[in-house]
Amino acid sequence: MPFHKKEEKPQFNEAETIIGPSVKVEGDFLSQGDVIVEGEVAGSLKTDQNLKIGERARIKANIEAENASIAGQIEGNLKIKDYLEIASTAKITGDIVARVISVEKGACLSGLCQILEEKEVRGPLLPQEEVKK
Amino acid sequence: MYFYLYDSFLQDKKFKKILNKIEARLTDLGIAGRIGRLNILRDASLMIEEAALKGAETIVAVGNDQTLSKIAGIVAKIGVILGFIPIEGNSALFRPSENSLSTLLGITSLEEACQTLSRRIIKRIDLGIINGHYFLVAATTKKAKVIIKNNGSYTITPLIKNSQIKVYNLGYLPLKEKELMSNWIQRTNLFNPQDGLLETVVFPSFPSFFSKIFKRVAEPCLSIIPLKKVQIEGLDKPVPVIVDGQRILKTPVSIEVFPQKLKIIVGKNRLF
Repeated sequence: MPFHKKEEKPQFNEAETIIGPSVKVEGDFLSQGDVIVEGEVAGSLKTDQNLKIGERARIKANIEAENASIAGQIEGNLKIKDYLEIASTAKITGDIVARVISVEKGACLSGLCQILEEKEVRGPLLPQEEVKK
Repeated sequence: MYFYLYDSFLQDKKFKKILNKIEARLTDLGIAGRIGRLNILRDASLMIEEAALKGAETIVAVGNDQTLSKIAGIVAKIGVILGFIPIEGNSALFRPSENSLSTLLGITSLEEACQTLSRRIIKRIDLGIINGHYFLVAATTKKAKVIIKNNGSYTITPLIKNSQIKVYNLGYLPLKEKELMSNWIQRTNLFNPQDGLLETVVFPSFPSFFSKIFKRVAEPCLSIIPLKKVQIEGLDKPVPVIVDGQRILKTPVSIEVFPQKLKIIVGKNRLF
């Protein structure tokens, strides 16, 4: 009898990189590890691992990550290769692409939302609109 | 062959007894060597180069954390191995603090220091380089308006004025400063000297009582960003940068990591 492996929810409260609420990052931010953002980011934000956007975060950037948990404000497109969790305090203006999405009651989303198969999500990015400044 | 470099403060008579004890123990272990003493007339780099030319493969810093930081860069340039015998204050009361380099290196007593040298567990660790000067632990700016740049990719601007920036290669985030992190965030407070990265930490200054009440400014939280290369510039005027608690430079500074640059003898109970 086959045993189905239960998918574990990624942990979002551990990270090597922490962008606190008292800094602003401008430009193309690239990381290879887990990232927690509680401050301001403008430009683009990309990581190969987990990304947590805290309640106090204000982001005007396109975002790409393996897994993400969003609780703050984002103006930009999201491409999440696996699991995306959107908390009730989140406010997202932009298109979303992910493999699995969980949305809490109270979250605000404005944009196209696509839930795709893994190979489609990990494929090349679809043409994206520039982030409105 | 070993070369022991004694820091200048060890010339005080109160250290004579403990130095004799250490020298006897090193002889028992078969690792005694030539001794050099630092003073204002003798340059550390010349003494170390001369010792290396005469066949010394291991240079042992005898002194405190600053002694080790002082000679780490010189040893790394020459390519020999660095050892450490920590001595601070009265040796009978030698209890390394949690944040000291000796604790990080796994040296918890003077006997352990001699045994560590004898065991010769050698690890390669990163060094930082700031405007051409090596550093072992951290480079710290004074509280001022600064901007951090990462190789043209992005800039990091502290939003609270008079923030302090520390670029760590090795060390601990002090407990008091770790409390500046949001309490739901879990992160080790150890800065690993073997990860090929420098941790840039932004410490915001605390808002005044009136700002908290009238402007409703939230409690500040620190930021930690691991980088390989970083530039720090003062926004209004040049800002002093203190390197390993000893050398003072002025912004703009360019800081980079040299992965696996220094060979160092470490204890069994090291923390990395």
